[in-house]
Amino acid sequence: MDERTSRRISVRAPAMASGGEVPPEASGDGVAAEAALPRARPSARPAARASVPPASGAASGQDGGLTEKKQLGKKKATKKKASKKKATKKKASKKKATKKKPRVVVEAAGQVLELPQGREANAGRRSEPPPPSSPPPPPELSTLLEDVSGAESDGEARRRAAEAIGRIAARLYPDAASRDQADDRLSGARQLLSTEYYVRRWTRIAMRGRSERVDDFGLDRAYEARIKPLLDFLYDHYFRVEVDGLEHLPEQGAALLVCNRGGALPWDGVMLKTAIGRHRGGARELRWLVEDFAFHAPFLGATLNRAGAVRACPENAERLLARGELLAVFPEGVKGVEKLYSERYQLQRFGRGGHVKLALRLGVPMLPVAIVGAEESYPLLYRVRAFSRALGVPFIPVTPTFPWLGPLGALPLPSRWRIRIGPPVQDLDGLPAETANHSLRVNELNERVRNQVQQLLEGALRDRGPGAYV
Amino acid sequence: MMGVGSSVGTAGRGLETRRAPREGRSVAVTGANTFLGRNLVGLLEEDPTVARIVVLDVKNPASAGAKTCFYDTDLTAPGVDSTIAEILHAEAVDTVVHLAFVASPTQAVAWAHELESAGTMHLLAACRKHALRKLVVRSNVLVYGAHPSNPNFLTEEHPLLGLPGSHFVEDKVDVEQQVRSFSEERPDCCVTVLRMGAILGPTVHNYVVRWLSHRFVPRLMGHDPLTQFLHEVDAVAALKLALERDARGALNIVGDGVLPISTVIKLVGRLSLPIPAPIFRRFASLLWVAQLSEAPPSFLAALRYLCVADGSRAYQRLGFKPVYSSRDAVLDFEGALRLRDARLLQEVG
Repeated sequence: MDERTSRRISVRAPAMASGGEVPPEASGDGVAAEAALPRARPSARPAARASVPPASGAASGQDGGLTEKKQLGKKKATKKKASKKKATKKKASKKKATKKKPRVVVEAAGQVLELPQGREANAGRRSEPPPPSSPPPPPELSTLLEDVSGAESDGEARRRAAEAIGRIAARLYPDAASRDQADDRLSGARQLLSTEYYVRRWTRIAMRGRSERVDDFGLDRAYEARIKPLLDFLYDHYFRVEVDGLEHLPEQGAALLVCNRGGALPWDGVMLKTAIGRHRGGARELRWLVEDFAFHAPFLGATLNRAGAVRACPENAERLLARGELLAVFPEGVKGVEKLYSERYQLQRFGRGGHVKLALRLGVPMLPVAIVGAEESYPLLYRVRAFSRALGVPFIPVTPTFPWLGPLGALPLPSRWRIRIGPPVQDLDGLPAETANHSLRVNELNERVRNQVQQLLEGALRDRGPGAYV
Repeated sequence: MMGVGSSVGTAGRGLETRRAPREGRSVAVTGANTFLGRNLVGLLEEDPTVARIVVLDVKNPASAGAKTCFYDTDLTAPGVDSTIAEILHAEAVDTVVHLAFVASPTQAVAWAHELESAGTMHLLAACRKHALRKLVVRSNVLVYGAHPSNPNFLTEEHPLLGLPGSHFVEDKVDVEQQVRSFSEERPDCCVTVLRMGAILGPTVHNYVVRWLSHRFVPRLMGHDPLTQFLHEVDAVAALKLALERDARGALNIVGDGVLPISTVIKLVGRLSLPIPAPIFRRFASLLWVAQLSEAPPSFLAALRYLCVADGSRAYQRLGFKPVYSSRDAVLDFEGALRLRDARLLQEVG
């Protein structure tokens, strides 16, 4: 009797889009059937219901479920008939009994047909005996079982079973089946024609390399990982960055890195981030501030933001430092970008001392940083002020490459870089937070910090040697 | 909308709350037919501490129940202030919730101005004559404006710069100024201004929802600012909290987390249509004049620059913690949008 039940295609009634799960109450039946098993089948397990593969219909998701709902009623009758046939087809399937095959769950037209195979055969099976009198089976049924158990893979078996059931249904109810098939074809075509389908495909493609989450300041980890090879190439082979003084970085907690600014496009921050990201296996990571004209530039700003840059303003700096981040600031700002080639590595005015006030108020250490090479990557020969307002940039740079080569001119020249991080500025130690309110004192401190960066810069420049590009 | 009400819920409500209690608060709600008003009235109906809900609107909301007294009041009508003052007195109103604001930019600029600026003026005039204990006003995060100088997180101290050229936002800024001077005049009244972020959710309807419902969602080419959204459930919950707890001043009510606009569009399952800024500006005014777009060209700044608020003060003072993050709100909306699309398909087919 159990042989028969395990061979039968059982019909589960309310299985519309159930994803091929065996209903929980079925497992009890499975255990009951197990008890009645003969010794000949020692491998049968009672608790195999979790391993049911998803039904083919469920794989198509919500869209498919919608169209299938309508046909549920029509096919129900068909399926019941088919299950009655099963009992009589004992012989055809008997030889497949010992074969180990994936268990097949077919969901067609809203009903699930299970084709049990191998050792999981009678887990979750209902053990009601087959109806005593059943009409003669249509010829396709034997081939169906033959086919299905001969299939190599789950998907293949599922497909074949679906086809065979379709044939049976067509035979039993020629009118209904043809109508359903027409419906099926129609809904399939509708699904393919709907823009939704393509939009979702495209959405999936477009989200490659972008994560669905960014951090509070816009850093996208997936994007960061995607551009890392490019940055590594620039770091190792293009700019040939050498870095020293990384040991001055605090192991944890916030710190303010005060750097010199150079180059029209903010590669300096990106390279400093790469340098720090390689140190101690990426234990610390850098956020840096970029000035407005770069941050709001089309494409550039959004890209920088996803890579970890933040718009330069005191509120952002304070918030980042309060979070305990390493923050690089470029107090020269746009003035640093405006330096002509002949003025390179001569620090401009260091803003209005906002970074000093911030460091005093929050009590974070301040590290001078010299970045040599950035200022030679875009050697500025001349500044054109005309039209610059209309374009939203402080000036139109003239470099050996820029207006002449068009967009190619935006590529930096392969200057040799040297980044040096100095020890924390001692002058700030032990100063009370109220010092931030004394502007004279702040300016004096700011000037001292600027001198330290300048000294560091000159040292790094000497160490790099004479050749800026080779 | 009852769903929203029940999911926000109030602790410890039982069967005895079916009967309106004799004593309790008397809450007046303007704009009770807005999304927030409707849900709030539904919530207050179930709140045992509220004895009466006084609806000051031109229509009684569908969520009104036994506790609700409806007064047909048009805030734009001249002389409505004395009427409202009488109603407030007669119903012994101790709390006024001011929600009569348009949810989306409208072509009817003059009417919107009358409703928002003049309506608030009328309401505050009535409140001045009345011993009011609490005033809650809904505002918008857009009052800060989307400006290139904005920090990543705007705090409540940030000046209300508004969106230049946008009547929708200018009116809200004007309302805030009126409310601020009212709160300075009346220190005995607890005035709470809730600056809510863009509300998104399965049932709410506003210009953000319509913008994201397009097959091709227009955005500015090359600009991808961070945005944040507030789920509708959280918006209603914040209103309810503001009624229950006394928090003075303005509070940003926003969802946690930020998302770039392009990611939002992708999460919603739409295609983004990046348009270069100069072209977009020209087309935006044309489309707006032709009533084909949901926002005037002044809103382009919001597609270009950050306008993200920091909601930590609402947590400190009000205890408001959004249940849905910005991403959750977008995903919830996406589900509803997909359902809407499917229904549409079914109707067509």
